[in-house]
Amino acid sequence: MQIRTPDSLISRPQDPTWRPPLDEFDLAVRLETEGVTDEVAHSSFGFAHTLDMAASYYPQLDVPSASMPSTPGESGWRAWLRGTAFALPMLLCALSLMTVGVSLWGGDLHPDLASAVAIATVGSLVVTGGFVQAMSRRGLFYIGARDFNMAAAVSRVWAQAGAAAILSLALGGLIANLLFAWMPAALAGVTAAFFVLLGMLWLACGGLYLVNRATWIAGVTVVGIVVVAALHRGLGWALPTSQLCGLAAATAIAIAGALSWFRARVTALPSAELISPAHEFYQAGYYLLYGALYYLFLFVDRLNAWTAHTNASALPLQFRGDYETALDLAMAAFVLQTGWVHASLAAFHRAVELEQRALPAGQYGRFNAAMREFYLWRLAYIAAFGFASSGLVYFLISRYHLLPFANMTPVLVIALAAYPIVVAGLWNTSLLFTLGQPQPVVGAVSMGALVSLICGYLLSRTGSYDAAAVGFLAGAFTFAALSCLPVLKAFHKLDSHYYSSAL
Amino acid sequence: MRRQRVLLTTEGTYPHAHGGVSVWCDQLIRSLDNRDFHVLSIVNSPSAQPVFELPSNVQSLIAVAQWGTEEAGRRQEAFSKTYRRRAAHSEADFEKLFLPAMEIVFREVFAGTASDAGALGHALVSLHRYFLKHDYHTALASTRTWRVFLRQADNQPHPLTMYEATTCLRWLTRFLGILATPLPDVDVVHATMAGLAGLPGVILKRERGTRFILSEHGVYLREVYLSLARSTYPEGCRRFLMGFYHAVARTIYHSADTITTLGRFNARWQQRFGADPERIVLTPNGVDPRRFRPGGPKAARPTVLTLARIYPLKGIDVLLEAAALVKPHVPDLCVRVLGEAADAAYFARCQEIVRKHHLEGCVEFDQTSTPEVEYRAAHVYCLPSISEAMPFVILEAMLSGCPVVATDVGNVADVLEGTGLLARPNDPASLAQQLLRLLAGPDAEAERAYYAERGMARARHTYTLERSMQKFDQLYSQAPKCKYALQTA
Repeated sequence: MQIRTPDSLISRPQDPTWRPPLDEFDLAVRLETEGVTDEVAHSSFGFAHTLDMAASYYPQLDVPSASMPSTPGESGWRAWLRGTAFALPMLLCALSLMTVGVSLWGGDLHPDLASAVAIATVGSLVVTGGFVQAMSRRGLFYIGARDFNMAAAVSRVWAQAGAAAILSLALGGLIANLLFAWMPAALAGVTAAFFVLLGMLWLACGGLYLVNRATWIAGVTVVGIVVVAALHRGLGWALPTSQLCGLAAATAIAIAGALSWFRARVTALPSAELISPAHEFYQAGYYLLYGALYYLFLFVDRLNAWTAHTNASALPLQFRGDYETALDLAMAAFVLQTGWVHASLAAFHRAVELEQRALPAGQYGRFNAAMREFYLWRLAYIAAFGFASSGLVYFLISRYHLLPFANMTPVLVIALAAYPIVVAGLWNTSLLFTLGQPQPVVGAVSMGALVSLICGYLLSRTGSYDAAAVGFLAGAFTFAALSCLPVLKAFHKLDSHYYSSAL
Repeated sequence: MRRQRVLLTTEGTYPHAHGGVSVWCDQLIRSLDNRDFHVLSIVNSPSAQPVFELPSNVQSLIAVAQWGTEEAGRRQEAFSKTYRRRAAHSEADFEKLFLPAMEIVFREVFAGTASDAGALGHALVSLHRYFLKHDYHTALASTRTWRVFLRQADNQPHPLTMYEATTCLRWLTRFLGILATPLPDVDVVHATMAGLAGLPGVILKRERGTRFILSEHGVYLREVYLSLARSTYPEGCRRFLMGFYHAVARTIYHSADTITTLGRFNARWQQRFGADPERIVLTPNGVDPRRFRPGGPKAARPTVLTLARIYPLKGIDVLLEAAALVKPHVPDLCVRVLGEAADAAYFARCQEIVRKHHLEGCVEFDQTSTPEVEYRAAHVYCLPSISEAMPFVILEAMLSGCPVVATDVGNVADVLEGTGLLARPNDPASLAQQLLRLLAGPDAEAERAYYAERGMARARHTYTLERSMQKFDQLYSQAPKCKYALQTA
């Protein structure tokens, strides 16, 4: 008979999953699985029974302390790429417009049509932004818990709610336009069509982000642009019609990409009674609000600029292509900077784990201090990297004369200065979301939008419309500052907030 | 006359998962159809669906999701109720009713094998009462709760790191979520394990004097030790988990009126873990002899049958190594392993052993929905497990007239009591020796007939379903033994 000696039960170099026994009970159970029954312990080893044998051996064992490897985290580059995912479609469209001359939306359109498309673009982002946030928040929780059935069910609820909001607002807008005659009916129809298709595209991209297919977002944008180019340039179709087809194609592929991921994992959708709308709203209400307010904050300066000095326009709103071009160019820096937020969040989780593993439970004060230091350093890195990337983008734009409107240089400079500050606010936002504290973020982004609105409104009315950009800069400061304070406060009790954020 | 009401509590088994315990629960409810049952099932996810059709005498199914909810301790109720409880949070009640009880729970969990079962039971009832009126999540997520835990975690012979403390208290909030579940008014509470599923029994026994029966199939603590032997958790977390389960099991053993156990092996372990021997009642499993009976032709080749889900504790690798030793003496040997591959890596290892010993034509992996037919056709039933309690498969084989060769694990020796052959666990040579005796020994055929006959007689006398269920019928009818004053609000 071959029986492993108790010493060999302590460690097994050939078996990396084997852990040393915790006590004599543990040793006794393992001895039994090796064939040392009570009878064997008695007859072969002279003990009363197996537990008696284990109790005799255990105190003599030199049990090694097992060191556990840290949880592998997302790599920095991967995290950075994932972080840029949502800003990529806008950047790709801007780049495509500048290089190929066509894009998924915008481009060489009649001024009234351009205004209509601009309203649709901003409106769709503001309306769907909240639903995408809520869907990601709720869906990612269940995906993290590997409960794909619930993940699919809650994501569907939020996606359907977003789609319903888009469709009802489009319909409501068309009816309101019939009553108040804001714009010609045909133009209103085009606005509604762009609004619906762009809204669906943002929701579908939210789905791709949720299922960790963020790189698809760039892919579907490129496919959409190719469709527009083929129809407009190849077949000679009108640009708006080609763009609507391109948007439809991109949306369909994005939806198929998200659905195929779920189809491979979902076994049965849970019954509808498991998803309570009231509970969903309670869990994700702040994120819903934040998503809408964030896009409002990002675009409120444009609304100020588009509605200032519109005497020459038939519409109450006039799209400003030169202002938009300056902001779109600055967007290149913003895309680089947003990726840094996601990478920093991954680094935050790694730092928390390393600190927590190194410190005894009683030393939470040291942990909080170390992490506060980490936060401030990261904030400094983000600001430094942000301003450096903005400077680089400015240099490239100037060097290659990419901005065709010289009078918009101040707008470009202001936007390049504002985006790193926005990104600092986003860093604060992501930390507060991680700690389950969305309320102060909603307050900060609301105030940012309000400051941008008031400041930009006053400046664009008293001066030129492009002064609205100064409002954006002031709003960015407000957002970053107001979101920084609750982070610093939270870090006083980070140990507790971190524990309770995942209950 | 009012029908007796029973609350049957399960964890990871009936009616949401297949397996031996689930089959037993189903048999119990169907057999005792003169009682009304409420089933409280602790499940992994709120979306878990029952896989058993509930008999008509099941009045309600309370599924308690331990994981997969965004907040621990979430109840199946209208959200407005949860919200009202949350909005009504009172710091004074938290201070007076929650925190002292929670401190006791932390203390006893860290004490583990030396925990005070009475004190923990009292604290658990206090927490249950608190959570019926106050929000579970608010209390557990509080910084004060967390800091109390940190202080205790730091003040142990093996202090936890912050990482371990964070992980452990998060676990604890999931484990104790069951305390927030309102419990039905019943005459008997019947727990199927001395783990979390036993906590409703502790509460009902202490609060309402309800008769509390605990039926352990395996020995829960022993199984936790085995599962943690290969876990990737840090040592402090493993130590904490064991302490928690020790404290819980001790409280359940302390509160239960009767502890039914499958055999003497289990009883010994239960006593080691704190159960009072006077409350332990031997109640072996039973099988339906109308379904499992001898008859029909045997397979053409000498066939060794094993029915088991394929994972390490079932010792399939040992059986395959033994088969390699038997095959030279029994060239047309056929080894049939019927069961789902529950552990893919282990299954791959088994297949590697088959290739290594060139057993491809001799070993068959498959599944079956008619085990009774398989037992009748086999020459020998083999149980190569490393750990077992009282496997149904042995009883089924015995009733089917199939001689048994089994490893000496758990209560197997008691069940066979000389009507089958025993081998040492994890010892292919020992297993091969016993298989050879029944397949190629000088009196192999006569010995097979002898063990088949004796095994069948013993099973028909001792291990029938009817006999097993009669025992529970009697136990349900007994009055509760109230050995301590009921806790009053």
